[in-house]
Amino acid sequence: MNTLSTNPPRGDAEKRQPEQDLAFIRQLMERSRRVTVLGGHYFVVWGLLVEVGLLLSWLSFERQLALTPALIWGPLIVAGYAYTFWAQRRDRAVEGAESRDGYLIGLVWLCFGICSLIVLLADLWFQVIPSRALAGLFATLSGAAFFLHGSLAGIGWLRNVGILWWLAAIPLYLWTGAHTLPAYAVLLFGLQVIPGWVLAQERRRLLATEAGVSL
Amino acid sequence: MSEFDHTSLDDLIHSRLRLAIMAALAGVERADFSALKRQVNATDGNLGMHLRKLEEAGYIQADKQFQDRKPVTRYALTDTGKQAFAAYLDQLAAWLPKTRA
Repeated sequence: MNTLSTNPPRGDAEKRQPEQDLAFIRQLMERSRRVTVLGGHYFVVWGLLVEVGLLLSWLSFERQLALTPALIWGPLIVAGYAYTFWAQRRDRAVEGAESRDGYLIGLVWLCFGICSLIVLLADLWFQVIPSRALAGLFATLSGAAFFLHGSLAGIGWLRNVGILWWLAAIPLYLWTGAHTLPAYAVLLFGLQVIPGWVLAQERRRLLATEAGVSL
Repeated sequence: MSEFDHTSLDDLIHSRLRLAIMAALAGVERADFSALKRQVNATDGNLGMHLRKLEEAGYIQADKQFQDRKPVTRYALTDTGKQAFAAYLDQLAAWLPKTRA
């Protein structure tokens, strides 16, 4: 287990070396910040909810279900935001810390949520965005959000997930049609649910490690 | 390797537990008592005593609030604390070339 000791090495504060202290400080600063910038469980929950929405939309498109987009997406979006508000309260209590990066990451995802909602309404309600462009647009927006999250959190692989979303947007714009619904569902699983699960595991490990620090 | 001259450092921060508290708070905007306790793995009494010392020195500030009807005390570095911590880090960093020589 990766633990930090708050005891002076060998019980002699005077014998401590600056390298040890700097490494200790760096590790503690990073650990206290990192737990506030992961938040992978949101990706998992939102990812799975959107997967359900995509599946229902695809079934509707294939005439196997008689559901309107509002009926499909309305309850799912409400469920997603309800989970988000509940989880944020719980996280605040569990983590007990707030960081500027964590706050900025929260804003990035809030902006993503609002932009996605506007794009969805622009398609469904105002009908000014063609439905065939939606998958590509959402992939583009997801890319931006993941790239910013990875950059702010200092998690390189998460930033690369953002780049993968942008790359994935290209074929979604090029080859439009009903097949983009299952294709987007696969992308969502690979580029959101799995990364989210990885981050959630790290967060859980981090909180558990902190609780089990040995002196 | 030359001996590290601890006497030139801020005594208040150089204590291992207080250093841990300052470092943990430097990584975030604010943290509550339980989060700090997790981070530095100290007993309530010990942590409370060191937090009080840092608060008395003006390095940290405590903000008492209620969260879900439970009292929660959140701590944050003050500007004085940030300056003192930065100065402490500068002093440590200044020692690195000497100790590596």
